[in-house]
Amino acid sequence: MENALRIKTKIIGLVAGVLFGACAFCGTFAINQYMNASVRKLADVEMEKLELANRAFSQVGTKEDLEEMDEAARDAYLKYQFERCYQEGYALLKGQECIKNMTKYEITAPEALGEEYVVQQLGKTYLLILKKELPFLKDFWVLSVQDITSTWEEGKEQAKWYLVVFLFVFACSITVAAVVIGHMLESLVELRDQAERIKNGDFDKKVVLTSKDELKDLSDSLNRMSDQLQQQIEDLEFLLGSMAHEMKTPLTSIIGYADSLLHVRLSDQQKEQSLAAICRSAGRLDEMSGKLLQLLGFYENEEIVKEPVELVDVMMWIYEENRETLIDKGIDFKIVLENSVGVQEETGLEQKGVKGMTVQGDPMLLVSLFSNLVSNSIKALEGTGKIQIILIPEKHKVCVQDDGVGIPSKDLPHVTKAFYMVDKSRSRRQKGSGLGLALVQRISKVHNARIEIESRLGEGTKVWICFLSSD
Amino acid sequence: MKNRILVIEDDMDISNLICMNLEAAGYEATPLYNGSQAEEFIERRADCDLALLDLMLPQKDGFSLIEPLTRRQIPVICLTAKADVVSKVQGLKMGAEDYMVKPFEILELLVRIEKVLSRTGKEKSVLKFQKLKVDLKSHKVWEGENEIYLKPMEFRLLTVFLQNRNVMLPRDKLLDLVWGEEFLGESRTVDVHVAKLRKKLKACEAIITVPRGGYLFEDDETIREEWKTP
Repeated sequence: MENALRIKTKIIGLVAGVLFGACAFCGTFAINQYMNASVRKLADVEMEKLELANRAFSQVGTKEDLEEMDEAARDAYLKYQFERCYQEGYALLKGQECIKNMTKYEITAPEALGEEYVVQQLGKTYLLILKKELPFLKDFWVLSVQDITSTWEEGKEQAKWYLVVFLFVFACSITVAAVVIGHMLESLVELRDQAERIKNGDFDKKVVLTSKDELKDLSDSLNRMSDQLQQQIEDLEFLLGSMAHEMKTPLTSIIGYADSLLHVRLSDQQKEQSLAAICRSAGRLDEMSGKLLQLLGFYENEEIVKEPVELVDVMMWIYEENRETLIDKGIDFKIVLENSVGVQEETGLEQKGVKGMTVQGDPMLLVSLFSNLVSNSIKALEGTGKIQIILIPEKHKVCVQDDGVGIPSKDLPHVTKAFYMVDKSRSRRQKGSGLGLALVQRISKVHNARIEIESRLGEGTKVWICFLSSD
Repeated sequence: MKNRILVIEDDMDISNLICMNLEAAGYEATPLYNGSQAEEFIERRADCDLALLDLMLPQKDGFSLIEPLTRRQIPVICLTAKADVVSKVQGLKMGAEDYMVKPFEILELLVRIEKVLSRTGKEKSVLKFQKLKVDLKSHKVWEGENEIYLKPMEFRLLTVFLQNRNVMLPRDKLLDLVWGEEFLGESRTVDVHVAKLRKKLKACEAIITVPRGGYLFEDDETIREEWKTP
């Protein structure tokens, strides 16, 4: 909960900051523009008034008349006429000096004023000050001072309203943003809870997100991960359970025979038989543990070094290994190389180094794979029969075929499960551990190969190993 | 006459193990390796006193054999690696007398077999060894023509020995079997009674003392020299 809130606070804070900044900038700019525009409008009006008054004032005498007068008389005359023509709020300047002031204010430093207008604050009042030179007399200026406090206050009032609206809009948008962001981040909380559940080994509950974004993808991956973990754990539990069960039989044998040797009077021959039985059972346990280790080894380390392996050589090697058993049982063992047009070419068992079919893989593992299949076929034959290994290089396929007892169709989907035995007593008799095909499947997976098993009860079994890519 | 016990177990080693011990202890054991073979056998022969039945059998499930066995008054002791309560309960519900989980001790198996035999009345009432004859019903013991008087505990001890021939019986097991588990006696009690038996009966010289172990009743007749290879 805490983490999600922290990121929520961060995002909302950021959004709020950006929103506030943008609004504040726009607001200041707008108010400024508004104030400037209203003052300019006032100034324009005042300027027009001033110009009108100036034109009226120019009727008091021509330029020549005034220039003929001496300075004192002219000034007095102008003052007199100014008083008549102008209303309150105007002042007459001669150069930098005020000669007639009809404003309520004292005029100082009029030279600071440029051609344009200026707004001056005097206590609580705001003054708009303008200046215009008289058209007929050089260096005589008329100064207009107008109280624009009401307009100014109005502008301020506008700004205040703007602020209220701004705050309201800001509050609304930030609330909406917070709700939307919060809603989006809720999925994050769910995802975190799901991860927590997986940590605690609860795989049944899944995250269901309705949105279609990256969070949805993430939740899907999380669900898939959960499923896969559950599957792996179940597989492992099944393996352990089956293993414990399968260990019981040889253990019963070992414990029973050892117990008999210790506590029961037996004939010498019986003693020997007991020891042999103990040895046999211990051997079975050992074989089982070896295969299990091989099986579990892959769980730990998926990486194997792959090199080009000639499968014909692998088959030869397997034949050499099983030669005695095959001859003893009278089994007809054949390695067949099939080319693209379907013509079968028999590879003599004596020829070595025939270029046949090369795949990328670990030679030891591939030997283990095919020798498990051949050993299964030998067991399925229960005596004489035929075993054929067909290599089809063009299709990256290998088939191990026998005409033995076959597998009932109901058992077919399960035969690659560890410790699954179709005929338990036959398997035990033949020292099967129930791990062979599980190992074959594991090795195939590592080699990017697929297993296909075709079998008919009483007719035989074909196991196809299809290498999916040629690399 | 010996009690005939059917050993219905598919694993050759375990089957041989049980048969070997049963025969040494004085029973007659008949091994049967799969369900249909067992079914066929009990159809033909009814002269069996008990069946040890593995519940995981090829061809025919062990559970399905319980009914035909009990129908022929053959008590069943289930024998299986399944330690789960469900199959235990199922086996007993279907009429099995007892249940043993692999791996098991030989002595425990023998004791349970005896208990089931005596409970179902299949126990042989007369035990014989050389000239010794023990009648379990009338509690009488004869050696040759002479009837020998034994105290109750001596009688029970002798019975236990005769029922578990060639099996080493530790003193504490003997105390449990003869005097009962509640008995708080010392193992010396066993020694005293064994000594009395040896004194009273010539045949009881067959009881040998196993150093640091217990006692063992030797009977060469039940030890088979010949043994088939699995």
